[in-house]
Amino acid sequence: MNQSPFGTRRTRELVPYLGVAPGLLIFLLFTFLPACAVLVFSFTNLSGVPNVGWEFVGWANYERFLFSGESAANLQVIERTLVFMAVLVVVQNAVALAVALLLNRGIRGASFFRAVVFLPVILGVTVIGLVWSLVLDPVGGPVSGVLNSVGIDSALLGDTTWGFAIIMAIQLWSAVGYSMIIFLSGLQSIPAELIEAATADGANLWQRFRHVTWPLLAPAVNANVLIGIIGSLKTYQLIWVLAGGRDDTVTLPLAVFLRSFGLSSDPTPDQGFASTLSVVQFILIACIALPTMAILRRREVQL
Amino acid sequence: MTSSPAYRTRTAVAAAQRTLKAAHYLVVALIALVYLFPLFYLANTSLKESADYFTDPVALVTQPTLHNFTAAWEMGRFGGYVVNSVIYTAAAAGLGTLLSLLLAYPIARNYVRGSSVLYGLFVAALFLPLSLPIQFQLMLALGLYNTQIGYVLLMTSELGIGPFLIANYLRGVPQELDQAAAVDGCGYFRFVFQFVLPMSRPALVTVFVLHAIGVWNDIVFATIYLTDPGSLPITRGLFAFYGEYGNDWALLSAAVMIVALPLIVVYIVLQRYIVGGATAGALKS
Amino acid sequence: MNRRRLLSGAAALAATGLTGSMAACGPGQGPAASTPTGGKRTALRMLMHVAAPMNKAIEELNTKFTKANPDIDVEVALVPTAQITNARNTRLAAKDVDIVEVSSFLGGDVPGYATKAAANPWGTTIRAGNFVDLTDQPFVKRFYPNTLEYTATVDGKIWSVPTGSVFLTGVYYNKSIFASHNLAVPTTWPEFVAVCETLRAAGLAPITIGGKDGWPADMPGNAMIHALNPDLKLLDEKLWTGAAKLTDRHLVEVLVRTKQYYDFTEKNFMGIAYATAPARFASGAVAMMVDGSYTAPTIDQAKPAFEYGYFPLPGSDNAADNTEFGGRPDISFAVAAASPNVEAAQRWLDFYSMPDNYGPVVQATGFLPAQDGITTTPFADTIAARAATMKMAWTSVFHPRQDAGKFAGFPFHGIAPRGAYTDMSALAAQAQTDWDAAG
Repeated sequence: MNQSPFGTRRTRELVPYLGVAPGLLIFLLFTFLPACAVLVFSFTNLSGVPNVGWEFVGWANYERFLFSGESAANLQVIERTLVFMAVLVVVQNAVALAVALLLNRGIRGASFFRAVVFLPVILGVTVIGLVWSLVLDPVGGPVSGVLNSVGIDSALLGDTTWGFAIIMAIQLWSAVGYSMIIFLSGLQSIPAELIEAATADGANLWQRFRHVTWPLLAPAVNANVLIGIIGSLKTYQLIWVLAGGRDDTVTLPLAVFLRSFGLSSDPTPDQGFASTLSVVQFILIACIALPTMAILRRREVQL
Repeated sequence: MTSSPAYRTRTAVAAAQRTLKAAHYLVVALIALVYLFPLFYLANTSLKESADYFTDPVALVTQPTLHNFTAAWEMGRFGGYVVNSVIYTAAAAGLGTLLSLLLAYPIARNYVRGSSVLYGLFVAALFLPLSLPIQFQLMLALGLYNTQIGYVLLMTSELGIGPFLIANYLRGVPQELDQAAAVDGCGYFRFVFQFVLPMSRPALVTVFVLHAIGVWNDIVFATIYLTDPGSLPITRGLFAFYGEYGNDWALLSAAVMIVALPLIVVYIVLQRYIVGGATAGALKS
Repeated sequence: MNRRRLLSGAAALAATGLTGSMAACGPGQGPAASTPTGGKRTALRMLMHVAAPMNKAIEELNTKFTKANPDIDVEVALVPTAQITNARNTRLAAKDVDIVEVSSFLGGDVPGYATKAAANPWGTTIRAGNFVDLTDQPFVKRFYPNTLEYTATVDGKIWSVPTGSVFLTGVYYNKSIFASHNLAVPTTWPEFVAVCETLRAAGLAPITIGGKDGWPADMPGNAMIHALNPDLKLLDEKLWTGAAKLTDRHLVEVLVRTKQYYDFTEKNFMGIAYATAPARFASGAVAMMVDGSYTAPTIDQAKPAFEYGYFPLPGSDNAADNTEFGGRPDISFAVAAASPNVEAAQRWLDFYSMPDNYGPVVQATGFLPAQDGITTTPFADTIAARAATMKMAWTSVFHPRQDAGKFAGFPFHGIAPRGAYTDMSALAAQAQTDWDAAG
């Protein structure tokens, strides 16, 4: 620990703590403490109905999640959550990188197009959800019309097989802008001379990308991967707006929300079980995120 | 000579480059279409009479009317919702950014004991389990349910990557300035606000924009914690309107337009700052 | 065209700014003023779900109420139907509401044979002490004892005041389409299928469902259970004790006929939002729609002077089985125990239960009344005769099995196009497996 140089000898050590205190307090109280408490409550049958008592039930919630008759459905939810995360981390970033490359240089009005792609971030989840619900109306909407003209019939968002895929596509549409901007920053920090040198050496488009651009983009890639993984924890608001509490589109974080407040197909709130879902998700994310971040960090250092 | 091999190669290469460029523009135009078409369709629908929309949803509007806009305006309280959203976002993101700065600076400079523990805490916090049910019980116990203050406090507390983004940024700023200012008699807080704040502006802007986007887009916490119609942000207000009038798309489109248009206008004006600021400080981490 | 859009945008923007600044100056509702006599005004807070006919009727009732009781203001908070349980629990917990809408659809406590069923949520919340005991209030005596017994009674005490009953198993039909195709109201399943085939051959989609919300597509299936099983309570018991299996032929028949029903439904019904289905029916795009009798006012509003009728879904081959509707009482109003305004709330309930005030609510909602001597809507009149023979709907009788697989019970969501199954025997087998999985 360093000695703060500010203030008198008496106040010197104390004052930085004063600065830290409010932020730390709010953070601990509203974010950190409840998160730790969730672990504890996952072993209870806290319901959420007012004035109903609760008690510890040991592993009962976990058994119900993993080993009871409903576990097949629960495993499907986990699967869907993982798919969602993969799409958010891999597909979204791949698309964002492609778009960033397209909009980096060499065309007129690049800043206009960039602004257009970033626009959904500003519009907000409800506006996006409603706009797409309108466009994807299976009875007479434009997308439905185009599909019908090539002989495809679909309930679109209501379809139990494809609905979730469509939701993920809309999620991509709404978030690519942000990832793209991060990639653009990364791209623009690559010195032009390196690219020119590679071209002079006879490298074609792909080789330039693979040997110059891609390695130097490592920080941007890491940032986006991190944001993607963390984001998948919180990115269920759009699913909620587009599809509500339907069983065929629910992911783990959404299920935590639905179960905590009686918003799913079972209208009884079950906050103990919701806590269990949250812990399961935490374990999943930790198992995936930590190794991923370690690998990426090592790669960045190597480069 | 007009048809020497070198000339032919150069023209061939030039032609190939033109094709590539044309393809480039085409793809970009397609992307723009995917992003702008839904909004045009929305605008088109909002200008139709409900009956017209029913008979032919996709057609371009032939007799545009503003009737849906006036009806939606009267039936919803969109002005109030927008004001609420702006207040919540500005307050929570502003406060959150400030608190992040006050946390990040001593951590970066190691002026508090256990700085690395604190840093680790904020990193770990990113991956912590969702605590919705317990946060709810806590807010109830604190009497903050259905209060705007409670909502803003909760939104503020989600500091996310703020402290650690700013801390990383500040690590690149030399420490000599601290000593020099202290020798000149500058106090801790004065130093932070007068010197550190302007120096870390790119990171602060990024943190603010990130946090603001999160609060602006929040519908879940607003659903759980706010019940007074007068305190709802846009996300919920618009969604409630959809719940009540969802079977009339012409009306609903007008409502969405009422919310989206001012956003788009503001965005066009401030776009450079928002888009640029969104990442100014991000990559240094 | 462009200028128009620009102008409309500018107008909206200006309006936003103006109202925004006005709104910023003062929050939604002004503070309670004192009455001319200087007394303090009580603000009664009510919570209900969004249902336009009911909301409007209650609003008008509140205006009358405030005129008769100038010291009480009533504020009604409306939430989307899907969120009513959540809103109710959170506001009760926050002690933030006085009169609450409650739904006690599943009557009574869990019977002994249902060993692994979830507790009746209504019973749970009553016993937790969240509501005020209304047994001795004079106004409860105005309602039918049967309705009270079903919706409001727990442990021998009465806790809420009903609004009326609804039928759930009926089919709305477009009278003019039927007439122009020379169709009579079907009384048996083969007749129903014939009607659908005639309509389809004529190029018209016979049926619509607002399937996007999920549960509306269960309604025809539940109606089918109702028609094919005379004693639903017994069926529930048999399923639990194992005396009946979901793979029994007459129970598989429920799935088979529901699938036939879906096959006659317009394509992509899974994408149609429930709120838009009545409008589709009213527009004549389809001929029939299964929905609750409470939707009638919405249809009337979508298309006034539209001629339609309502008949029980004839799921059985035997006409005699298809004469009764299945239904249940609709929501009721209870008083929060933690409310500081219990006396004022009870005054409201008293006012509400007076026939002069209750009547208009019934008229507006199209419910079957829970009191004697109330005139109903013309539509409700056509079906009111069968109110006496209304049976409890399956959803109010069946106890879902906890910890079971997702097809346990009657898995209508597994039937194509909602799910993957086209072979109903296979689906029934899976349902029974999932049912048994709860151990």
